[in-house]
Amino acid sequence: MTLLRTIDLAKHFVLDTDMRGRPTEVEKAVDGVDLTLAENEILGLVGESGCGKTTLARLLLRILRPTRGEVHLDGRRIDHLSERSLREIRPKLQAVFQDPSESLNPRFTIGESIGEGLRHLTDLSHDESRRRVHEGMERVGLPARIADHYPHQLSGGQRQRVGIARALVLRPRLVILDEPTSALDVSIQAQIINLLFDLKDENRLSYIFISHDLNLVRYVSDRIGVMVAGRIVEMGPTRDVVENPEHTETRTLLEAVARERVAGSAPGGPGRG
Amino acid sequence: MLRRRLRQFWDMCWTNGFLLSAVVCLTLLYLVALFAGFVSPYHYDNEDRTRSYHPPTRIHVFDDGRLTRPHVREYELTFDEDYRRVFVPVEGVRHDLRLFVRGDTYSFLGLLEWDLHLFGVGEEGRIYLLGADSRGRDLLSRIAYGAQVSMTIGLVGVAIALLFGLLLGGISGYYGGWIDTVIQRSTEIIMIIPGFFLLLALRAAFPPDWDSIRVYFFIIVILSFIGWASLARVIRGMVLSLREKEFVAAARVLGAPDRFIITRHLIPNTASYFVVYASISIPGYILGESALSLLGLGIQDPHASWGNLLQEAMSITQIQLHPWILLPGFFIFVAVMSFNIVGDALRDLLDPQQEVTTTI
Amino acid sequence: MSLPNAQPENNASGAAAEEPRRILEVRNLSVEFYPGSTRAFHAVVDANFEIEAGKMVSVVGESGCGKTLSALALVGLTPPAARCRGTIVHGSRSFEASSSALARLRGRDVGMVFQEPMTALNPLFSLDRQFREVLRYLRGVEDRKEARDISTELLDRVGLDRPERRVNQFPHQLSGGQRQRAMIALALAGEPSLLIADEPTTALDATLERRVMELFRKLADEGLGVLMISHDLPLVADVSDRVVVMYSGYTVENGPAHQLVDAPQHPYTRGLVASASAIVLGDTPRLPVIPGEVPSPDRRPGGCPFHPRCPEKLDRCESEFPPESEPVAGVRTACWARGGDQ
Ligand SMILES: Nc1ncnc2c1ncn2[C@@H]1O[C@H](COP(=O)(O)OP(=O)(O)O)[C@@H](O)[C@H]1O
Ligand SMILES: Nc1ncnc2c1ncn2[C@@H]1O[C@H](COP(=O)(O)OP(=O)(O)O)[C@@H](O)[C@H]1O
Ligand code: SF4
Ligand SMILES: [Mg+2]
Ligand SMILES: [Mg+2]
Repeated sequence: MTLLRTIDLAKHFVLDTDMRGRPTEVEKAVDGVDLTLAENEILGLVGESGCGKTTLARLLLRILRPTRGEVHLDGRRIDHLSERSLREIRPKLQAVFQDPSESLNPRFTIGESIGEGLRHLTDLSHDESRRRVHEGMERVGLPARIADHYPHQLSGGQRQRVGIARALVLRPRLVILDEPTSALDVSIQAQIINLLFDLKDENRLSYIFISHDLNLVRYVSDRIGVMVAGRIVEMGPTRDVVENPEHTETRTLLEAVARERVAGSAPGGPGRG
Repeated sequence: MLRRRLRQFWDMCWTNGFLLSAVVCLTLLYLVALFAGFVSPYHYDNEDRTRSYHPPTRIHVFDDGRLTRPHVREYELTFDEDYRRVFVPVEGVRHDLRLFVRGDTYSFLGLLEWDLHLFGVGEEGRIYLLGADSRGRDLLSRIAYGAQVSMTIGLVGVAIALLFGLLLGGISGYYGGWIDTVIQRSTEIIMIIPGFFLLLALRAAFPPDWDSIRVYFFIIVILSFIGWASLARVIRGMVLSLREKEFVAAARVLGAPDRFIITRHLIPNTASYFVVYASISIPGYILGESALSLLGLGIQDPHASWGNLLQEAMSITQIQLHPWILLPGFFIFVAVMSFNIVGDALRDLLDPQQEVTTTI
Repeated sequence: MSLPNAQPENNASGAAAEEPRRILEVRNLSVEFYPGSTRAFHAVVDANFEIEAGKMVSVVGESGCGKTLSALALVGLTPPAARCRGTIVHGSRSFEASSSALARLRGRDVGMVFQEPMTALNPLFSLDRQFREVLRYLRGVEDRKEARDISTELLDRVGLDRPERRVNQFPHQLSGGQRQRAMIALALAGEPSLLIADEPTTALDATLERRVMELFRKLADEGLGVLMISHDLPLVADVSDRVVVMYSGYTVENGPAHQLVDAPQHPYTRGLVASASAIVLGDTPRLPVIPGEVPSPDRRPGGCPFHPRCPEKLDRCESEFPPESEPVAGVRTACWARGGDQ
C-alpha cells in the first residue's frame, strides 16, 4: 500500500528580483520529483551535498511550501493544507535531523524537547505526557535521569537518540531521516542504525533515509533514489541501482565508496557491485 | 545553564578587580536606593535655610587631644573680609554622632512608616557629611533619595524596552515580508531622529507642571520608546539566523505554533545578547533622565534625582564657591561606569565565540 | 633559524643517510587538566608515536578520546587549564611538552588544517591577500608578484582547478571541498615539514572526503610528514602508513595501516573495523556495534578503560591496566587478551 506519493514536486528559491519584483535569479533546489513510498518500506535518497535532499525533506514535512507539485500522504493531499489542518497529520509524519547539536534547542531540557510534540499535537495530561516521554527515552536507550539535563551535557550519540525519541513518542507512520548519522562517530552510527531498524520493526514505520554516503544508504534501504541537481535521476530496488547503475552520477558515487578498505575484502574487491 | 553562567561570572569577578569594584558599587547603590530613608539622616525635603550651602562636616574623634566618641562640630555663619559667607566651627559646641537615631519619618518601600535612621546627631545639631544645598538640605540625604529615581529608571526603562524590542524584533525576523518592513521602517524613523531632540520634543508635548511621580513614569516611557528600536533591529538579525537552525524546523514538525516558536525557541536564544544590551544601555537611561531633570523638564524639586540635584551646579561661580554640589555628578559617573564594566564583562562571558571554545 | 628557548639536543639523527628522516617523535606525552586540584584528570596518557618524512600517520578513535588534544600539544596549543608532560622532538630539536617555545613552530615547521575551513579563512579577504600576509609573515616575501606566483603554485599543488583565477576569489565563492583545499594550501605556505590535519573532511561529502584524503596522501608522497586525525578508521587506513588508535586518552594500538584493518588486535579496533565493514559488505541484518560510549576522562573506569564495553574482557581487566605487547611484529597493543601477560 502506498503511504506517500509526490507528483512533480518542485521548490524554486528566488535569489534576486528586478525592480518590479520579478525573479531574475532562481535556485531550482528541487525540480520535479516523483516518488512513492510503500508502507513499512525504507527509501534511501542519496546525492552530493547541495543536490536538494534537505529541501525535498522539508517539502515533504511541509516546513516549506512547494512551488508546484503535489504531496499525498495516505491518500490525502497535504501540500496545500493550512497550518491548522496540518496538525492532524503532523503526528503521522515525523523527522530526525542531521546535526543533533543543532536540532535540539540548547535551552530546553531533554524531557521538554522530547515532550514538545506531545504538548502541541496531543491533549494528553501532564502525567500521561511524562509517562510517554519516559517510555520513549527508555525505548531509545536513554537513562531516565537525564530528562532534566540540557543538550550540552550529552554526547553526540545521546543527542541523536533524543532526536529519535522526540519523533517516536508521537507514534508516527513515516519518519524522514535527513542524514541522521552524518554528524556522528562511525561506531555510534552503527548503534543508531540498529536502533532505527528495531524501531521500524516494532512500530511498522516507514523511513525516507537521506544521506550522501552511498554505502550507508545501500545498507539501510529497500529502494534507492539518486538525486542530482534537484531531480531524482535514478530510482529502483537497491540491488538494481547498485549493480546496474544507469546514470553517471550513480557511478561516481559508487566509485567514491568503492575504494574503502575493509576487513575481509581487498580494496576494490567484491561486495560493492 | 544559568547556574553555570553565574558561577563563571563570579569567578570572573575575582580575577578582575575592576569588575569586582563595579559589582560592589552597583550593589551598594541599589542598597542605598532601597533603604534611602534609613541611610539618610534627614528627609529629602528637610531644609534649614540658615545653613544654605553648609560645607561638608568632618567627623572628629579627638576632642582637646583626647579620644572621645565620634562627634561633629557646630558651625556658625559669618562673613570674611571680602564679605563672603563662610561657616566657622563654634568652639566648645559638639554633637555626638549616634547610630540608630529617631528622626524624620519616611515610608519604607511604601509599606510602613518608620523613623529610625542609620546615624544622626539628634535634634539640636545638624550633620552634613556631603554638604548642603542652597536651602540647607542635606546633600547626602538627597543623593540617597535621588538614587531611587536614577538607579531604577534604567532598570524599569530597559525592562520595557526589552519587552517591546524582543517581541517586535522576534516577530519581524520570524515572519519577514510586509510585517518586517513595517516594523523595520518604524525603528528607522525612531533611530533617525537624534535621541535627545526626540526626548525634548516628546516632553514638550505634555504639560510642564506634572507632579514628579507622573513625570518619573513618563520619562521611563519616553526613554524606552526610543530604546526599543535599536534592540528590535539586533534581535531581528539574530532571529533571522536562528530561524534557519534545525531546532526551529524540528519545532514546526512537532506542531509548535508560531507564538511558541518565537517566545520559547527564538527569543530565549538571543539572551546572551539582550542581557549585555540591557546592562550596557542602562547608563543611557540614567543619563537621559539626568539631562531632562537638569533642564528642569524631569523630576521637580523638592523630589530629588541625581539630574535635578545638578541643577544647582549649572553656574560656574556656585561650583567655585561650593564644589560639593557637583557630587551627584560623581554618583552618575560611578553608576554609569559600573554598568559599562559589568556590561563588558557579560559580553565577554556570553560571547558565542567563547561558548564554542569552552565546549570543544 | 634560532630558537632561544628550545634546548637543541643533538639527536642521533645525523645517522645513516638512507634511514628515513624522522620529523616528529612524541615520547610519553600526557595532558592533565586542572593539575593539583580535586577535579584533576588526564585526558591524554603516555602517548608515544613518531612520523617520518614522506609518511602519513593517523590517530583514530571516537570523539573525546584525546586526539585533538594530542595534536594541539605538539604545537603548544592546549587550553590554559591543561598541563602537558613528556618530550616532543621536532626534527633535531627536542622540547619539553610544557615549553612555550613549541608555539614558534606553528606555520614554519608545522602546518595545521582544521575541520571547519572558515575558521582559518577570513571571509573578508581574497585568497591572494590572505596568502600574501601569510607569506610575508612566515617567509618574508614582500613582493606582490612573487607572493602571487607562490600562492598560485600552492593552489595548484593542492589540486584546485584554474589556480591563477581562484587566487582572486573570496572564500564564500568556493565550495566546501575547494575551501578545504585552499586551507591546506595556506597551511603549506610556511613550507612546513609536518602537516597536522584535525578531522579535515568531517564537513564534506563522502565523495569529496575521499578526494581530500588522497590529496594528503599525495602530499606525503612528496616528502611531507602528515599527522591525520579522524574518527573514521576505514577512511584514513586507506591512505595512511601507520595508524594509532586512541581510547579514552590511552593509546591502545599502534601499527601499520593495512594490518590494523585486516587483522586488528585490540578489541576496540576490532569493534571499529567490524561496524564499518559490515556497512560496506551489507550482508548482516544488524550492524555489529561496540555497546555504550567512550567515558569522559574524568569518569574513566579503573583497570583497562575499555573493559565495560569489551566483548573479550578477562577478570583482571577490571583492576589492572594492561601492559603494552607486540602480538604481531610491528603492532603494539595494550590488552590482556593479546598477550599482555607475557
Ligand atoms: N532558503 C534557501 N534559499 C535559497 N537557496 C536555498 C535555500 N535552501 C537551500 N537552498 C539551495 O538549494 C540547494 C539545495 O540545498 P539542500 O536541499 O540543502 O541540499 P542538500 O541537503 O542535498 O545538501 C542548494 O544549492 C542551496 O544553496
Ligand atoms: N578545555 C577543556 N577543558 C576541560 N576538559 C577538556 C577540554 N578540552 C578537552 N577536554 C577533555 O579532553 C577530552 C579529549 O578531548 P579531545 O582531544 O578534543 O578529543 P577528540 O579530539 O578525540 O574528540 C575530552 O573528552 C574532554 O573531557
Ligand atoms: S585488556 Fe581486557 S578489557 Fe581491555 S581490551 Fe583487552 S580484553 Fe578488553
Ligand atoms: Mg542537507
Ligand atoms: Mg577532536
